Amino acid sequence: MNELEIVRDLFAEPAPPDARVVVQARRHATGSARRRRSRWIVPGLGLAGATAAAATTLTLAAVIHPGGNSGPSPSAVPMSAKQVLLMAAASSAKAPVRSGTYWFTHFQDGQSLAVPGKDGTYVVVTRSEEKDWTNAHSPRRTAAEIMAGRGGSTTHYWALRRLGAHPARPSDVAAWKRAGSPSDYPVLDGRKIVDRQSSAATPWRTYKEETAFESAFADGSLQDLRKLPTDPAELRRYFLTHTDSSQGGRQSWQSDTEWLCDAAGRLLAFEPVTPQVREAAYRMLAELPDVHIVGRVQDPLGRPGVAVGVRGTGDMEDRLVVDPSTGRLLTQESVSLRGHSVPPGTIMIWNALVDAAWTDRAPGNATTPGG
Amino acid sequence: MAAPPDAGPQVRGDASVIERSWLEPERFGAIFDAYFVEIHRYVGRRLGADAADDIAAETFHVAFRRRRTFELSRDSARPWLYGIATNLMTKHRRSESRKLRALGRLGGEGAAEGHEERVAAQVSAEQVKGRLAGVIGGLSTELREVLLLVVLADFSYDGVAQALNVPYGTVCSRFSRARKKLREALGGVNPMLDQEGSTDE
Repeated sequence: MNELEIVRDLFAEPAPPDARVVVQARRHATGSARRRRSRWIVPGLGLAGATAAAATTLTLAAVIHPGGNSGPSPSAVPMSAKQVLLMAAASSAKAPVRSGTYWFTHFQDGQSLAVPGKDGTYVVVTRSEEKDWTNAHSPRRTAAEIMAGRGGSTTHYWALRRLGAHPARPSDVAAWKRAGSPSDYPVLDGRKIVDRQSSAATPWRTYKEETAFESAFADGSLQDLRKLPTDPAELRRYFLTHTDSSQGGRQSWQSDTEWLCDAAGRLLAFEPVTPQVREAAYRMLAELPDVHIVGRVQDPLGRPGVAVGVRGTGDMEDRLVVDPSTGRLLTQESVSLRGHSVPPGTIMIWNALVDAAWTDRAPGNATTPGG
Repeated sequence: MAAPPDAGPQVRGDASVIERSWLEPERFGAIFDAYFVEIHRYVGRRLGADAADDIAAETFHVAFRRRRTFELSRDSARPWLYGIATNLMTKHRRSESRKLRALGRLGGEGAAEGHEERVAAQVSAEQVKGRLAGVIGGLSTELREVLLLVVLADFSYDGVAQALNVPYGTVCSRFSRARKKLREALGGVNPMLDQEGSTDE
């Protein structure tokens, strides 16, 4: 041992942080009590190259998508993005109206990481799941909150679990086996290992809190959510004049298109709006000039859908995978284009909506985090 | 830890995640998930678990609020986060020094310099550790931060320069001064020393 190794020895490692500490710190960090709200916006949609790409129907061969995380490459779909979105709009309109006490959403999300193997890096995907129950029917509003147009407070439950990290594709499984089938994976920063991702899953942990009823729209109350315009042009106008109707609000650098995609994507993903409002949102998206068709894909949960994409200014492309036959927004994903450690075409980050529905049942085993 | 083979210079893409978190705050969760445990561990090693809970949480809260100031040409957020954590540890620095010097007093009563080799070889590992603790407790803030970022957090000089926002050359000279003090304190009586200078960059 040299003197530096003794110094390292001198500072003993503490126990890893308690799970409750991590959950609280994460919430404290991003200042967001309800994670699901901020997830699904369609980032950076539009702007870059507002070109004729709009009406172009791309074919399979033109799309960079060698593998992704799961499922086959997209296959050509004989429709434009506009046609896909209009079909989703028509399907949305036919969905039945439901109700319940809690607005429930269930997401699975994933992230691709490059890890060192025997011969170069291979890709693992680390996944987690989250469920949210928000009592949307009875936000408790004080007179002042009603006056101020605030949504009031309500009961919110959320449950989290990690699903662990696993090799992404068959070729990654092979590389993993060559590396000795490790059960956890180093996370690299440059050439240094800065963390490890385990392949182990954790059990569900369920939490409960009293929190602001924060719908992104209107004043946050369900009644006002129900008043959103059902005409695409009016909905567009509504978003353009209500630039705080999304968490964080409209950014100064966002074009109209970017802002509209942001706001509409959030609405389609998160909000318990009526079928007519969903239809209007899809119709509004269909008119945006710089959304292109990617093709038929399987989303990271293996579900068939059609992907539309928007090339942002960066080195990733954002995509929405929709099921045009039901109007469901299945997955939002960001695909690497270049300059990342994972191969081009890999889905780097994704959020897949497993379920979104009204329910009268809340989880019974929730704990209330302190602080 | 040995450097893993074939890892490219850009693996995590933190800059693009942070840039996207400007608009989509939730994206910042990926930065949290990647680095929270590590920052917690670093603070915990220096100040103990309770302080680590608070300071690690505050580090990410501050980082989130300042995410638009992150220098996007840097791919890794790691030095930036350690820099924030280092600043937040400022008010605990005095108690850290006290603790280290106390350790130094406990362990430092073994062989003095100039003893015969045989006597020196009997200095226990605990005494050596204590002596080094005392030295670190007595280091100036500048030297100590550089030393511990290199030794505990495995930063390169360049990473430390980014974290502390000081020139590369300054980091080099601070590190070598700190190391010299450690070696002087051992006075050639380190029974745990296998070989000299094995961790040179």
